[in-house]
Amino acid sequence: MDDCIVVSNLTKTVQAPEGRLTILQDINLKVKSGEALVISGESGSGKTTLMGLMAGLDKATSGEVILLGETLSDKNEEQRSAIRQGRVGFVFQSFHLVSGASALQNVMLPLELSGRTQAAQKAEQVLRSVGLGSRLHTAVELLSGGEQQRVAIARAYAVEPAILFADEPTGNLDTRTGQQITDLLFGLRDQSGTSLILVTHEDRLAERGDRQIKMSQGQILDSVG
Amino acid sequence: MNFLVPRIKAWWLLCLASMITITIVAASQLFTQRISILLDRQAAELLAADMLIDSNDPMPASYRELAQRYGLQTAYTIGLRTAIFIQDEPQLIELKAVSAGYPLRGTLERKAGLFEPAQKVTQGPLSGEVWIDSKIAALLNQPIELGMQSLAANWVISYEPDRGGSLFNLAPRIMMHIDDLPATGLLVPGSRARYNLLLAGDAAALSRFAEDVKPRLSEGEKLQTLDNARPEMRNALERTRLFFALSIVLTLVIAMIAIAITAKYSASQEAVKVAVMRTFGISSRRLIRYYLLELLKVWLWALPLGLLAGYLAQFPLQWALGLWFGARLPETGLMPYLLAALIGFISLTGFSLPHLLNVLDTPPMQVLRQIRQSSTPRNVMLLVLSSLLTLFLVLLLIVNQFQLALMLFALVIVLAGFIPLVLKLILQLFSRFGRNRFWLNNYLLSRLLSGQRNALFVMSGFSLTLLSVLLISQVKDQLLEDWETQLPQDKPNYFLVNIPTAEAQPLSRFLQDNGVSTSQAYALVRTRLSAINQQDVKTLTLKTERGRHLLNHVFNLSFADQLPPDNQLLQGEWLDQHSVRSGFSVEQGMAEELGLKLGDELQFTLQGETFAAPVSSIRSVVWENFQPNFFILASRQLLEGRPQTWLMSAFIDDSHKALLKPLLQQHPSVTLLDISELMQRIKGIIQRASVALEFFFGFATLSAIIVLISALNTTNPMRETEIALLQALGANRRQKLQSQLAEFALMGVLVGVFAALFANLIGWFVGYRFFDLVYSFSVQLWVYSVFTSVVLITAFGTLFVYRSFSISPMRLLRS
Ligand SMILES: Nc1ncnc2c1ncn2[C@@H]1O[C@H](COP(=O)(O)OP(=O)(O)O)[C@@H](O)[C@H]1O
Ligand SMILES: [Mg+2]
Repeated sequence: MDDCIVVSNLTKTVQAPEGRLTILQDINLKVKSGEALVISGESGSGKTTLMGLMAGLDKATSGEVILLGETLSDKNEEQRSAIRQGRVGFVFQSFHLVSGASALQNVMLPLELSGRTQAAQKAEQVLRSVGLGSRLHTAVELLSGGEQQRVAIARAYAVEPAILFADEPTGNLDTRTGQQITDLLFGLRDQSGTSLILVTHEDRLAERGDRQIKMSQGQILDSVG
Repeated sequence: MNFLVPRIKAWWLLCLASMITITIVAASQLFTQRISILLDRQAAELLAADMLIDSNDPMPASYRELAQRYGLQTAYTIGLRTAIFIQDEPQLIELKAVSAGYPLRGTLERKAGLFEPAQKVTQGPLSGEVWIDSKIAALLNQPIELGMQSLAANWVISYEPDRGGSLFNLAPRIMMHIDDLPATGLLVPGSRARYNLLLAGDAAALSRFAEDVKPRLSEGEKLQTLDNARPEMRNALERTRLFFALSIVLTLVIAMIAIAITAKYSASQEAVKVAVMRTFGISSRRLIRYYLLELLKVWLWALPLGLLAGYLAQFPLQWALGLWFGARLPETGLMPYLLAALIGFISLTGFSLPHLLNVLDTPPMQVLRQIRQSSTPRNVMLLVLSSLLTLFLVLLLIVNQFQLALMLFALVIVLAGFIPLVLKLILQLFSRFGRNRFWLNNYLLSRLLSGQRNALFVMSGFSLTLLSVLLISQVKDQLLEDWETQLPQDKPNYFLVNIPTAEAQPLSRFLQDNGVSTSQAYALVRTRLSAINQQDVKTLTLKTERGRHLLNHVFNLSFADQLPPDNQLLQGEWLDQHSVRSGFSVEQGMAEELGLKLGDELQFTLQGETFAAPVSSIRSVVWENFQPNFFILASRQLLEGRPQTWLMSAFIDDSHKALLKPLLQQHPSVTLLDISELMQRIKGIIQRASVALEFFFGFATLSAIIVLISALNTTNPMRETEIALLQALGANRRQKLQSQLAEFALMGVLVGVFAALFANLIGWFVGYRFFDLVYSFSVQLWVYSVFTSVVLITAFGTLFVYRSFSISPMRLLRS
């Protein structure tokens, strides 16, 4: 039971004005615990959809996802959510921080909501580890893009997840900052042993993973590693 | 301290809106309660106390001791009829002996001479003094033989608060101190006297005392409470109270609209937070708990501020009242504060929670694409149901009466649907006319019409506020002028009572010959209602205190050949002097209180004789017309030949005042009652209430401004982009300002036009329908309405968007 995610025969179709549209077709894939998997492919190839299905954010049309040992197809929204609680973290392209709140408050929020004690200490510690020890009480909208993404990474890592999903985490950042964020993500992964599933359209990021998957038109083109 | 700060976006707006709601409830409850107590006190003046024990025999001292133990003020009065001699002619008088402290409520007015100015005093005659009725003012400064005593009359009584209770059966009054009574020897065992123990104090103590004393009362000892004010007074008070309650409810509804709109905005701002937390696997139960806690924090902030503001709001109100009353307002309990806290919480959670729950349903997948809120039909249902339920609950708590709450609820719903609809129509009408003006049509109007900008919300909020203010001021004027406009110019200001049968015709002729208009003369026959449908009234159980009061008191029966003016026949037929049958015509309210129907047999007792007849008709009576009005009119043949005196009303203006002296000399037994005093009082009450109302509409305006700010908040990103775009295109500050000003000003114009139009329409309708008035179109109203709304909306709107003017056009390149 070494696989944290098992995807088998996964298909996703949606109803579009032009008729039924197949976004993902017959995907098979395994992610080992502690593995860093990079999913790449051009825009529109279905990466985000796949990631959403793996995390149980959405329901597949057919096929199965086993997330952390639990099948998702037979579970409702609330039950799927319960599987993620405390075990899954997310980093998004557009950060999705709570504006108006400080960096510390942003990191504390999921900790508090999942009922962890000493949320403030934990949040502060993680923020220091991403290099924001001096900006704890700054409102997040005053931070730079790179700093905001660091807060988001701290927020994701603070819950000590088994799996971290990152969808285009560098998409809104300049190359240099993007590089730093990538380094941070992989560095933290190395320290914590968390599985990392990183989605990107930039091919050069792909090499950083233990394994790479390239997608095109809803299918896996090839898998390296 | 940080953990006390709510973690909801725009929570301070939500807090402000809740605070205003709490303030309105607290202030209005405190105020209406006090006004109610005050009004009851004014009614109490008719008893000269809050409560009294009435008996035909001396009362045990224990009642008074008991009252004093409850902290009540007490005073005694003893009333009896006796005769004095005026130039060797016997004159029946009503002697009243009063103790120190009388009157406990209201004031006496006395004059040094008939034509001297009146002075108000709070204490009746001292030992050795005798005060006399103006009717026998000729006896002033002369010794009056009262039984075995001779006392000098030193004051004329011009107003006696508790004389209204028996308006129509007065012999001239002589008032003296109770300590002087024994020496007169008038009070011997078996003499017919009325002993009253007057009581006053706070409501709780009074009701506890009443409960305590009731079982001890012997037969013939009756507890009288406040509920028996005169009908004309009661009606005016009730109307004022209802009018007041309605206005408060309107104000409150506007405050709740502010909560609802702010909540919607706040919740939409939570979408990102919720969606991210969902991806982190936080259950919706935890999120609901989280938001409940946050709302609780908002409430906890709003509560002390709202209660404090409500408490403070009383002082200007009190000040306004002091101008008329010079009295400290009575204390109220904690109830107003508790109710305000409860309503604050209910409206905050009731309006916010469904919006938040709707956000909780945001599909987590959205966080990976674009977070936008969509409502499922189930959530829309939930939202609508919850808002309606909250509204109804609040109304119910406020008016405390299911049916009235339901009526108000329906009214608010109709308004809520109707106002935006009409505004939209007006807008569309505008855009049709503005077709050729490109900027107006394509730019401004389409902006306001697009749902995104919430312009209709803002405009509806302001329209409702402004319309309410306009209507209140109109209705107020209407209420104040009610008597003047409704009554003929020569409305009666005097009642002439106690006219002997033989003098009725000559008196009436005397007045008319001298150019004084009078009402018809009515006979007064003092009887008691002894049985209804052969059942002794003593065995009847009546629901209302008022009904019981009606049964226990002397009835003044009269007859009339024609239906008196302003009376309307509702059921049955009017029996005139030619009718073979005889019967009674009963006033509608009385019929209700006593549960009387057509055909029910009424039996009256008069000096041991009884007579009975069926109820032949039911009438409505306009009590406020200051004409002689009667609960029960009998057929002529039932009353003819029975002991009776006559009564009429007259309009005696200043130029005719000189007639009064010869009139009283020619008709010494006639008593003259000045009733303009009573009218002044009723006017005063309405005036007081309306000043208070204007105050409350200040809160409504604040709520409308919150609605505006909430809506501006929602549309802010859009607005900022627009401003940035204008700047990128090279617009200067003035042009940017103009673009915004034009939008606000247009909104203001629309709101002003709407409010004025409907205030006029409703005013016209009400005036036409209910008061037979020709409604005059008021230009002032339109100017006021449009001006106010344009200034308010433009000022606050511009103030709010002004900070966006410094936004860099770079904003367009990012995002
Ligand atoms: N709910 C949906 N309805 C219609 N089309 C969708 C929906 N979700 C995704 N798509 C389409 O599916 C394709 C894959 O989308 P996505 O997974 O976001 O690709 P990527 O993340 O690789 O850019 C795109 O063409 C997108 O437009
Ligand atoms: Mg994508």
